[in-house]
Amino acid sequence: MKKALLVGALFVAGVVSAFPFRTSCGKVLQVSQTIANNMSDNQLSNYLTDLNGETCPQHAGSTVVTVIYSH
Amino acid sequence: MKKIILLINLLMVTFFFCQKKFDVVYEADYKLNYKLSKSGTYKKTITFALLINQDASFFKNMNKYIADSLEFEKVHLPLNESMKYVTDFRETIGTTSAKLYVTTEINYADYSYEEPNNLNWKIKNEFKTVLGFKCQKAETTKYGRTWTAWFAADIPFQYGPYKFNGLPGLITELYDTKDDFHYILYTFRKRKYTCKSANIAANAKQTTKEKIWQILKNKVAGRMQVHEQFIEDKNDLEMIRRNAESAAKDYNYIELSIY
Repeated sequence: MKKALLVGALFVAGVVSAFPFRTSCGKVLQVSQTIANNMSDNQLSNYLTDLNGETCPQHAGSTVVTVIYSH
Repeated sequence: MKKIILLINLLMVTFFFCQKKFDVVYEADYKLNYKLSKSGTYKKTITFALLINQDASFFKNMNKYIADSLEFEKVHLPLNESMKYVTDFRETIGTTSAKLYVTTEINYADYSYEEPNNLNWKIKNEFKTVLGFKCQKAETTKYGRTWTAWFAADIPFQYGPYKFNGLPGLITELYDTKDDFHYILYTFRKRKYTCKSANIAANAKQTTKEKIWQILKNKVAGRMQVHEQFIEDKNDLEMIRRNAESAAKDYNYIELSIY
């Protein structure tokens, strides 16, 4: 029972520490919020733009990005 | 005595480019039309600011100029707003008559390096008008490309876009023979202010250009290390790795050779 609670708590923590990032081609990626919190606004913006380009190569370098989460 | 003066001057210039701020006397703004990939034909247009004073110039992308300024002033925009200021050109270039001082971001870490300022121009007897200024043609070969520049002798600053400078007047237009990168001046005006966020990455790791090239060679591997911290889903990571490798092979770097 204790184990089940611990696993459940870790699962919840894992879900809470990620935020959904909707790329310009519609795919949603779960991105670590903990790591994002350690980046500056500029670094995180650059990272998510690059991530968008690498997820949707047809939109590489594009600024058409929908972000669900606000840092 | 001359050597001491030279050394002091060199130290002052190095110190100067380690600082965040830059005293601006004139500003020249350029449009860049560029091709992002080697295989494609799609071109993008972005803008750059060339900040000028008596001793040096500072060149940076306009989006980065705004983003750095917001960061310096501690203005936090919503992420979808701040992403509007992302650029493919994340370096800032300080130019003096002897050296170029470059700060760049690779895989979200800042690096700085110096390179000698030693362009060898051939001035041609051809003229045209750019933005109302009479301009003369010059050519050089640098970074694996042959470049054509048009400079205005009426603007007595020996600076220009990217790392190009050293002509007897401001460079108003610059392009390579393939026209993959085409800079053109769209405004030139007198300014009198201190740009406090000129080099916001003043604590960048100092390195050499050779090491930067090595890091760029392994850019995808470095990028994947970052992705692994951000993304847990293995299938997503694999898809990103494939796309990143493909994009890296096709990426049209402005510099094809180190010097």
